[in-house]
Amino acid sequence: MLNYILKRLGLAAITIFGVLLLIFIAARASGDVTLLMLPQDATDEMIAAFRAQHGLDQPVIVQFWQFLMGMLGGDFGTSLRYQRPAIEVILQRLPATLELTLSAFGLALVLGVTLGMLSAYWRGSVFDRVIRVVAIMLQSMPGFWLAIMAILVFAVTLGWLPTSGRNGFLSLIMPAVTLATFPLSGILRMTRSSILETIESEYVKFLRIKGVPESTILWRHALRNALIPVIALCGLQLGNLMGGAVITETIFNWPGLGSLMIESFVSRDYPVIQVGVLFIATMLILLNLAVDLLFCVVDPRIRYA
Amino acid sequence: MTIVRPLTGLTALALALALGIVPATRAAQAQATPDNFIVAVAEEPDTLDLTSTSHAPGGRITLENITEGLWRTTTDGEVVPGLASFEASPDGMMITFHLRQDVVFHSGDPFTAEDVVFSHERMTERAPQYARRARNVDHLEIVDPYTVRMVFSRPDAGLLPARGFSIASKAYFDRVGEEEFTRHPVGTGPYEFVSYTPGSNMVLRRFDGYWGDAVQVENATFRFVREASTRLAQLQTGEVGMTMDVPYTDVESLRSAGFGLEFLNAHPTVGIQFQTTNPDVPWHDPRVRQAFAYAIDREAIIGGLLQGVPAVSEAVTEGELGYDPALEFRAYDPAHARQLLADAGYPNGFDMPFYIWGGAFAGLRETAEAVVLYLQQVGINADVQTLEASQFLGMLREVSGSEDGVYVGISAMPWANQSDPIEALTVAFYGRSPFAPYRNADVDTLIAQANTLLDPAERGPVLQQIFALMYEDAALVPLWNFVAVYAQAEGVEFTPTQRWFPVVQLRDVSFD
Repeated sequence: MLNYILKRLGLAAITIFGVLLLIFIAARASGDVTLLMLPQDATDEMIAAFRAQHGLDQPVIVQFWQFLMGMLGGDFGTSLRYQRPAIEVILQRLPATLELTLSAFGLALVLGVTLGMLSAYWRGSVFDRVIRVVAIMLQSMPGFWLAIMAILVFAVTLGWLPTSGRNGFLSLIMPAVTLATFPLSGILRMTRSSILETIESEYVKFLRIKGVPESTILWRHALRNALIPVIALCGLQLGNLMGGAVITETIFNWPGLGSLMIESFVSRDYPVIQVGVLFIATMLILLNLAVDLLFCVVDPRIRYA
Repeated sequence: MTIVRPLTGLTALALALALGIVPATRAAQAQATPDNFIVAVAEEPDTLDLTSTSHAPGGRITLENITEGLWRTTTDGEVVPGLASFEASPDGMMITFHLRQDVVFHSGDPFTAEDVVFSHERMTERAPQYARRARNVDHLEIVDPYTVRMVFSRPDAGLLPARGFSIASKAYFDRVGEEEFTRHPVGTGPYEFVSYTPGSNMVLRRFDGYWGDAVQVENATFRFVREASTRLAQLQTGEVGMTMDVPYTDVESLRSAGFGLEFLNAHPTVGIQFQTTNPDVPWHDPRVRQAFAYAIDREAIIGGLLQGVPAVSEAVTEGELGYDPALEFRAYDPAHARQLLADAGYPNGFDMPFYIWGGAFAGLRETAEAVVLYLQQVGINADVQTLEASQFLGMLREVSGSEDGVYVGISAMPWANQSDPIEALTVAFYGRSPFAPYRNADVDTLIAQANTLLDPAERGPVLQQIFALMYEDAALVPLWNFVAVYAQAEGVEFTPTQRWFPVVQLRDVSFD
């Protein structure tokens, strides 16, 4: 087990290195930040001085090396736009993003699994049909549209919730719910089909023949086995959630990492982009590792050597 | 079945909304009192310290309430004394500032000549926009604690009307150090800094020791809201009392819902620019450039795509220095455009690359698409290449620096509605500027001359000559001049300060 974790952490380090290299080169290849930061009629001397000051006059690979070395020493670079340490800019925004994505994920998981189970339990009923239609609808709606509609209905028309911002529990409801819709429907449908599949399996038939009550079969036997593909899906959905947060945060004016990343890409604030990507990649990789380890808990047959 | 009921309720509500049964807006006044005035703005400052801002004017939208300059421009665009009165020497080589003696910073430190020199030096070193603008300032001299001389290496008429020179306190800096200085800004303005939450908001409070006229708003919050539809929703729910940067598409619905609207003619102008020195391209010939102006129905683009909000003018607009009513608008006339093209030797038109500054400005892309269709009708086939901001700026520098660049493009540039046109001309049309693909030796000579004339009465006629030459040359085909739109809740009066960039000066806010 320990070996497995160490191996996965090693792989994670390589993945993060690759992601960083890619974003480092891509951000620089997409345009020169110098011209965005300086006056339009800046002289060649001003441009040269700016590049020298921020090390942009070095070859990209040298800049990357310097970035890596700095990072190992705890220096993540200085934001070109905010003129403050990039890590500080990121850390200020991190709690908001964690709050939003974890709430959305928790909501998607609890509702998705519960509704999926009930839907499977009452398969073919009106409840099941409505839930399936709604799930497909929610999964097909673009997140930004849903967000704007939610603001229009619940804030502008009904006045129940604040339109946007991060100001207490009420302001979390709309962003979390809209962000949760996509993973929720995925989890719901996966839970339903997985449970249905399990219920049809030989061992469940055997349990029935033995006279085990239906609810015990569902809760104690079927659910546990049915959850394995759901857990795998959750790992994947976390990535979607981070991506979705970028748009959700912008529309709901949620002061998190997502809206910061958009601003930083627009203004080509390389250091903030790099550190932001580093954080998001690390978070995703660690969460996925946690998901893999969860398999062992749910299914004792799975052993990582 | 219990789960189904709220869902059908929601569907019914959505349906009702779609059918217009439920009113989609309602005006509220909750956040529009002097005691608690909330404004939604799109741009967040890059730093709270205006003397070290690397960025374009974004931060000024909010921070000019805290930090003031030696001079300021009024709602009518006039340059008037701020923290100092001033006079220029006859040769334009020196401006003497007489500082007000009744001014204190929010920190309690008195305002003196030392602060002026400190701020100038700090900005020259740390604020590239100011450093570039003040390039002709040789040095500052302290004459006495309330008199400062600004000595020029060459006269520069554009400095006063252009960008602000922000005054910060040297005594405060010496006492608290760099870190606190930038985190808790202190100025002489009518509002003092209370708090700032990155990505969220900034809170200000009225400064009771302010030297100037009384202001009405007591406590103000600026909310940073990037998404336009969210800003409007906040106004509609009454969460904010005012918002800026209203999209043109929303002007009518806000007006009919009873919100107050203010329009500010501002920078920039969206227009077609040409690299004119290359003799091998059709648009080297001024007749071809004129044909562009006649071929495009600019008024139809404004009416159809931009809800009729912006205006268009061939040169600066009425009331601006250098305005000349004789420069007639080149109204849509495709037959005349074809004739001009034929006269220039292109009866069947030509193919050209057409560069678009992607994402520079709301409405620019749609405008470009319409322009391409209009040009097609007179035989000009545009091969559209949309470039992202830094690539576009890079290319513009490249073609501006070469004699044989091939460039026609739509961009957003300084032209009309500046505080004074001299700055726009020097940046975007003066041959030696790295941002100016247009070349005309006569225009260059006149721009250089206008820059030495500090008296607007003398400068005006020279500017008129410049615009006449550029009009004949069709140096630029202006498509529309940007108009900034502000919307306010009922009971809020707002008269925006006339600036080349839109800001929110809380002093401009009053209540019924």
